[in-house]
Amino acid sequence: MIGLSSLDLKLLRDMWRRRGQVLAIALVIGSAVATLVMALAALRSLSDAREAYYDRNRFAHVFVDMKRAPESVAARLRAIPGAAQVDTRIARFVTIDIEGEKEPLRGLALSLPRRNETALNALVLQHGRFPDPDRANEVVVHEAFATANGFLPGSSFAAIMNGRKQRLVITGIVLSPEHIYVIGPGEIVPDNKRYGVFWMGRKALAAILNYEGAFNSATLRLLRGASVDDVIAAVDNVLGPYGATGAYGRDEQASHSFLESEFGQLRAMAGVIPPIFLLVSAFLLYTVISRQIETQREEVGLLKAFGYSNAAVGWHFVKFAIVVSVVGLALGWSAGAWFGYSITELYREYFRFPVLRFTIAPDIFLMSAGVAVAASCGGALIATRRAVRLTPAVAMAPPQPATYRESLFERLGLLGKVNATGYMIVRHITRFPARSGMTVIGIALSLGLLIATMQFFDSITLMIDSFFFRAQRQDVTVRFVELRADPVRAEVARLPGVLKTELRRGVGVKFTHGPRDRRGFILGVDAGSDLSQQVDAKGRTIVVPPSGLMLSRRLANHLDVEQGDIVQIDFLEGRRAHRQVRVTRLIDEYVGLAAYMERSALNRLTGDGEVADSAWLTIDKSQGDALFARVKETPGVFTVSLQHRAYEKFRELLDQNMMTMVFFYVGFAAVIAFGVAFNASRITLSERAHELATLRVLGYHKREVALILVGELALLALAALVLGCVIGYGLAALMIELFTTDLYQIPFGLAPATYGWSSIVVLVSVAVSSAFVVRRIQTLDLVRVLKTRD
Amino acid sequence: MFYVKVAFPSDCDGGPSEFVGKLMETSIEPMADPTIAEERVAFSVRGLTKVYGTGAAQVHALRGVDLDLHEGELVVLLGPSGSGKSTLLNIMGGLDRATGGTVRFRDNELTACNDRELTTYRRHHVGFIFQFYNLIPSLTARENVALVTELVAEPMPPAEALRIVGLADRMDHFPAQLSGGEQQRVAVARAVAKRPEVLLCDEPTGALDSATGIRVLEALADINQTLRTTTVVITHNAAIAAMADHVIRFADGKVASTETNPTKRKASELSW
Repeated sequence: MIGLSSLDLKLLRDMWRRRGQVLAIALVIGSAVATLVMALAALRSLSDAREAYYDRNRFAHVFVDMKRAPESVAARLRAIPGAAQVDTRIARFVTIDIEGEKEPLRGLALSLPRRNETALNALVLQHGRFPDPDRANEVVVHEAFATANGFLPGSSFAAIMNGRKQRLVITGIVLSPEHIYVIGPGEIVPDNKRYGVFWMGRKALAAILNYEGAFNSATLRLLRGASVDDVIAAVDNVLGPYGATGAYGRDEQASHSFLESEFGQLRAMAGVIPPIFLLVSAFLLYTVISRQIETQREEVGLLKAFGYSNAAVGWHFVKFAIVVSVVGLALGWSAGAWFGYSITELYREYFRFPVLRFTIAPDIFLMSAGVAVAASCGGALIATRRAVRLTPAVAMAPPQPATYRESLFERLGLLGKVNATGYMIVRHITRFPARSGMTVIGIALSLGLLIATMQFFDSITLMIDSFFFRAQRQDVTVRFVELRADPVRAEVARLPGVLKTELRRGVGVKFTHGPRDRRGFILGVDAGSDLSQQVDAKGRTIVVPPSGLMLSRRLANHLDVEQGDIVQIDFLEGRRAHRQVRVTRLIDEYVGLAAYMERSALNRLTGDGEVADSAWLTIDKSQGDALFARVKETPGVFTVSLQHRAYEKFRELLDQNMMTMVFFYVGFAAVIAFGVAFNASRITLSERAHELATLRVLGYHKREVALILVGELALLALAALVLGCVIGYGLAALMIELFTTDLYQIPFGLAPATYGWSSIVVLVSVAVSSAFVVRRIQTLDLVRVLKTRD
Repeated sequence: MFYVKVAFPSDCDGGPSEFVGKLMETSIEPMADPTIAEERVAFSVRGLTKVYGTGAAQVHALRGVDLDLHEGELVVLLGPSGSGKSTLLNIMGGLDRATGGTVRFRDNELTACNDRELTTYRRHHVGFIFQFYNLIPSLTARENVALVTELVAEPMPPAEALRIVGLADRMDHFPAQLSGGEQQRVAVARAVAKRPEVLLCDEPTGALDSATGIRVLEALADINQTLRTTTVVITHNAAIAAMADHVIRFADGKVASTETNPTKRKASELSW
């Protein structure tokens, strides 16, 4: 049996009387805790799963692709200081043909290591068996591709490799630490149905692609403490003559860097949202406890007169905050666990781990409890100072009558002519400027948070518009196996259904400017291109300059380059020329670290003549099937990608995730707005109950009295709307900054409607909270008010 | 002279039009002639009971009260604490509900009115004065009066009401800047500014020293004389009874006695 002290009983009864406010504040704390637990636990679960996976399956540190190198070169790679293990392999993008699919699919064919148990990037066999080395047509496929296409061991598909159609039989389904996030080159969202990775015996693949005794891809695992940069430089040195396109570390490995950017967003979420909630909850506790001390002056005096110490009285009120945070923690932990579990389930669809368990480490519980209790106690302590300072005699005397004076608005003549109740509203607001200000800020923060989170829809609309409808307006992209001279245009144009053909060329390069360097890619675009416009973050079309280089702003920042500077370009393909080129234009782009040149200028720099590596087409959709059938059979064509599919996948992803996010964001904002507004009007009601009852006695109807409460809240909410839009703008910009990764920048484009919808959500929350409070006007005791002093 | 300009939108006791009609009829007559006005019954109370609480905790505040109050009278209710006088005043003022019996204001049964109708009744017909003033601290004296004058159609200007109670030079002060007596006089001004037919005062001098109390009573008597407002004053203070037309003594929830003062004394002649 637990014996509660009388003070604790009083505390519990006080809380029960204020249960509405307690719950409102606990909800705000709970939102902070839930966000924190969800983001940190999901982050930890993902990164732990990744680390364990990387470790167990020996995920490489350095990757390099080249045209072709004899197997003997591998020994030179192994001799590089810092290299612990080097695996060579054969890798090739191929066109995949699945029965019943008219559109061509893309795949990455990789050679299996000789011994998976000791290999780098070792595969995890999920179902079936590894191919028999003696059978040329057996493969294992990545689980993502298998699931999307309904493949089981024993299923088969065809791949066009080296111009020949190969029938391949699936013996097993695997996972790979290199392909946790599976995304085709040049894609912005995964499309597992149309892009897949598969592995076959090295001998078989070498035979098909004519790579006996040679390799075109290598991965390296480094000794602990070895410098990645030094090893990359050494690898480039060794493999340069073999057509290597430049070694790169994990930071540029597609799957790894996508995971990293997801982690970054989870970190940003944990860093931005909870502090706002905790700030608001601290303020709410401050106001509630201040008011409690105000109404319990006599009790405080009595307790002190009985001999309770200042500390004991202060602790009594701080305990109120602690109990509220405990309720908030209980709500937040359960919601956080549920959200975290749901988000991890969502991740499971995109990130393929052999084992991904959602767990919440004890330190996350502890940490969230720590910050929640600390924020609550902070608010409570400030409020409690007053109770501690009251001497018993002062506390037991009735408080001084509230002194009011004309508000600043009236003295400046801004108020105009209002009635007496209007003065009551305005003067109560200005009598407690700090509290009114905090209420405004609290509601404004909820609006700001909502605007800042809802902006992502505006951003994505902008991204879609700029990416799919302006920057890449082609229907189909055809990549050639090798560089083709310009007359290929006529050849492509003759394919069935082709309406328009534009040639492109891209070259892998290393940019160097002073001490900084960065691997990248220059896209050569023809002057006056119809199918692609480079669109900047403000939606303006930026024309690729006829000479010199156009860099995306982020790449320029990486290299510390301004417009007009000269950068060193080392071509990583073909003749591997080294050139100095002037940066003649910068462009603020959303995705990637792109660099552009006019194709002819690029070709002059590389010294390759008028050549292209791909063609962008618009097609007559009714002839699509004929076109695809032909392309599948065309040996010179490397891959084909379809713009409408990418668009559909993008929309699908958006529709899946966004509604959930909107639900959370609107819920969060509503919780804050409701909590702040409910608390503010509850306190106003408590302070003014006597006045409002007097008005009722004087013949004011309930709705007229309610108007005083609602009017005050409405004025504060109105001010909060203005401030909230400003905060929203700032917070949106901050979030964009935090969510910007190496891979992409989210465009900043708050639409006016976002301000409007967010304001409506917040106003509705405020209205609902005031409706709760207004109901209490019914219960005002008119008779008692006549007999008591305020 | 004064009129009820705002209709009483009630449907209690015989439908709205009847009630409004009766009020209009009674109100449009000039009240200046005391021989007419004093004959008219303002309040008629019959068999009024009020029980608070249930079971063992039941308190019988009123145990069957019958009385008539005439228009323009100044009546003092005397009695010890708990004798039921405040309960009667609250029911007459439309602030509380009876358990049994009837209260009629003129021809209208208040005990049959709903909450909304009682509010409208208070708004247009009743002025209240309380022991603790009940001023709104955020409003100046003038604005406290305006709080009431804004509700009715033809009130006194707030400044005039404050002049009547001798506060012409304190109109723009906030309650916290006024003494207790001044605050109570603001309350009097607030009660009379809408020219109510009834003025109900519960211990109006209870929180004041005698000199200040007498000033407040002077203001009340003055208003009763000049506006012919039916005035009911509750007090513990027997000395105040001397200024009344009638004195009703309460004991144990019932009327113990009713006296008529043959000669009313002026408030300024009182002392305690």
